[in-house]
Amino acid sequence: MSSLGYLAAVNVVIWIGLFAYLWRLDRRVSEKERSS
Amino acid sequence: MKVLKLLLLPYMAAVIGAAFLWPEPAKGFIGESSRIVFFHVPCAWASTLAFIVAAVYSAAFLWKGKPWYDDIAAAAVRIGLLFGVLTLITGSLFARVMWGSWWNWDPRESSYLLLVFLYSAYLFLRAAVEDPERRPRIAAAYALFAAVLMPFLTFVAPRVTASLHPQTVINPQGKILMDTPTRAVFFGAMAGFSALFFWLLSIDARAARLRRTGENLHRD
Amino acid sequence: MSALARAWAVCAKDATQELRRKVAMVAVFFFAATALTLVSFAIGPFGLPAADRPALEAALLWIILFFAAATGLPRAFVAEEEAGTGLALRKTVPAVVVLAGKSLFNFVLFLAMALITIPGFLILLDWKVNSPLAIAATMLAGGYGLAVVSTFLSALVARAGQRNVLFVLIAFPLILPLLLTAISATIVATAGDFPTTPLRVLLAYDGAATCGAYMLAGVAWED
Repeated sequence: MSSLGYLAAVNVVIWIGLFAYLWRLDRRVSEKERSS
Repeated sequence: MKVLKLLLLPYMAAVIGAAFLWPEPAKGFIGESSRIVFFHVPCAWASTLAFIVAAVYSAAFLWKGKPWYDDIAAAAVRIGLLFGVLTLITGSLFARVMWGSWWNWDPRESSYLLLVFLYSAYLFLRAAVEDPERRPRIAAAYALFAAVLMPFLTFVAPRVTASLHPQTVINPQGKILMDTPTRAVFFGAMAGFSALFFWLLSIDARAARLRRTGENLHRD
Repeated sequence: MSALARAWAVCAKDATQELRRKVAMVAVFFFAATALTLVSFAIGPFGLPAADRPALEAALLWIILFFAAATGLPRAFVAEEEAGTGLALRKTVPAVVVLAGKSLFNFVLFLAMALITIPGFLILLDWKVNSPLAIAATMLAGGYGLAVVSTFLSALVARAGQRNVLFVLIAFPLILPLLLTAISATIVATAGDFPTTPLRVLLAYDGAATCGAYMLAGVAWED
């Protein structure tokens, strides 16, 4: 795979993973805020 | 707000995709390495933004006394540290490709190393003060004192000596030396990373507030 | 009593206390002497090329001064806490006055250290200084900034844990611009020119640090 293709793949993994993580964190914090 | 957060992913995907596909690599750079500007500079900007937020909210906390302001300031420093480290890593990768070495003691990169030290010192100071009443005030005093001295950090370092650092976006001629595709992706990335910063800040600050109010409940 | 007179009184009290007990001051001077000797042993015999020496010696001089200061200066407020006089002081004297007095004392302490270290450099390392006036100016401008920042930060850490490590960690990012500029000025001074630009930067730093410490004194040193 070309180095550019490699970098692009790395980015896809990182960004989708990051967003999934942040979305989950945000939801957990919001739940705790509503219950407290 | 929820809609904005949902939209951020496709937006960033578009920006990143564009970063790799749309503009041509800049002249004078090795291979595709100029593309790093779409990641490296926004990270540096986010780190600086964090400092500003921390300083403003530290002042607000000392003035008004609302603990939420301290939560924001501390969260800003934590997120700023994250982006600062990312700035150093992306910068180092770029340096390796362009000049063959991981670190060159260029004034601008050194000033970001110092910023990372500063954020770490702030967090260490917070951890070392046990009294929860005094901790936010001591931390705020440090943050503001650092803010007063910050111009010397950022101007003394990038002195008149010749710098390896590629010419900055805002250059002596006062014009922006980028072609249209590059400019579009660059400012798009800046906006995207800023949004990312504020989202991270929001999560961290709210979590800190929950921890703090949880603590107060336990003490009663 | 005017504020200035009271600040001077705080300084005089600290000076008397330290002179009476001697332990802390002697420790600081021993540190400087040890570091100086170590440096001289390490680089003296090597006969480094003349071109490299000014930068190296200037850097080493300020490193020694900084670490000696980091050893001695934080005591400004810690000693109060240890002696139990901190609370009384907080109640009777305004924070700004206390900070001013202790900064003054630390400035004098720094100058005393410089007066010992510099002759050491001159003798042991055959340090050549072509403009003594410039060196004196650098020590005054740099020492003042170092004293003000160190005193302010000492107040912050006085009632925290891990004090020694904490002080160096929080001082380093703020002091580094001062050290770099002072080293720069020292290099120019050894060459014989007057380091106008670095000295201007130092004075600006000193001004900023003084303003910052003045405005935040009440927060740093309070109940």
